[in-house]
Amino acid sequence: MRTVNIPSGTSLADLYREHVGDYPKFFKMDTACKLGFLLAELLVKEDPDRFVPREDRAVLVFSRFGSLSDDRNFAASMEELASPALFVYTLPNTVTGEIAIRNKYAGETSAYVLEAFDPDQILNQICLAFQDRNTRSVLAAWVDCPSDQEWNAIGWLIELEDLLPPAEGHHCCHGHSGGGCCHHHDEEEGGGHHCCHHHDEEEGGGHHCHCKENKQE
Amino acid sequence: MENLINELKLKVIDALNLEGMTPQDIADDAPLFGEDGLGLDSIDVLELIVLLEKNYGIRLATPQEGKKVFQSMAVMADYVAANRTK
Repeated sequence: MRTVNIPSGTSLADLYREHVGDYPKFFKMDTACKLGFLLAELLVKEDPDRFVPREDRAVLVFSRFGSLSDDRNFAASMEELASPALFVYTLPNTVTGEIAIRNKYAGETSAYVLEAFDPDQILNQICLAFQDRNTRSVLAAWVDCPSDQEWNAIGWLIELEDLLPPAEGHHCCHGHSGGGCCHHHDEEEGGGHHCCHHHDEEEGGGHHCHCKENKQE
Repeated sequence: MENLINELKLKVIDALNLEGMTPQDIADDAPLFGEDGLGLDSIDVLELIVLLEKNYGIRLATPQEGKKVFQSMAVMADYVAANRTK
C-alpha cells in the first residue's frame, strides 16, 4: 500500500509544476479536485502502465465537506454573474471524475460525505469495493477541504494483494453478505496462523476473502 | 483594435485560468477551440459569454452564437467593437 499526504498550506500550483506539468486543466479545478488530482498523481506516477485504460481500479473519495468550498465560491459569483466554470465543480464526486478522466480509469468511482474522519468506515468501503470481481486495486483519498486555504488530504493506493496475507499471514478479510470488512488478527487469536484466500468466480463472483486457520503441524 | 485584442487576451487568460500563458502566446487569428487552438471546451464558451456581458454589456443569446463570435481573438475583438454597450 502506498500513502501520500498534502499538508494544508502547500502551494498546489508548485506541487503541480514539480510533479505533473502537462495537464493545464488542473488550473480550472476547484481546490478539492486539485487535491484529489495531485494525491492520485503522486500515488500512481510510478505505475509502469500509466495511462493504459483500465477497469480494475476503483476510485473512492471521502470528506466531511464535499464541494462546500466551491459551493461558496459559486454562490459568491451569483451576486454578479454566476460562473459556469465554478458551477461544474459544485458536486462532491467531481474529484473522483477528474482522477478517472486523467488516468483513463473506467472502474467504480464513489464519493462519500462522512460526519467525521472514520478509518473503520473508510476501510469498510474499500473492502466493499474489492468485492466487485473487476476491482483489483483501489485508489482512496480523504480530501477534506472546508476552504481554499485549509484542508486535510491523504491518499492511499491499495492493491488486492495488500489484503492478502504475507508469508506469515496476519491480515484477514471476511466477506460478509451485504457488507465487507477487513480484520487484523493477532497471533493469539485462535493460536494458529490465519490466512486469506481469494476466490474469483465463486460465491457470486466477487472477491471473497475468507479467514482460515492453518494450524502448524 | 490592437489594444482591444490585447485587452481581450488578458481577460480570457484570467477568466479561464490559462496558467502560464501570455497574450503573446495567443495568435490573433488562431482558433480558440479544438486541438489546434487553445483547446477550450463548452464550459469555457459559457465563461466567455459571461465575460462579454460583465465587461462589455454584450448579451449572447446562445452558446451556438458564442461559437461564431469566439472563432479567434481577432473575430471576438471585431464583435466587441461593433456591439459593446460599455
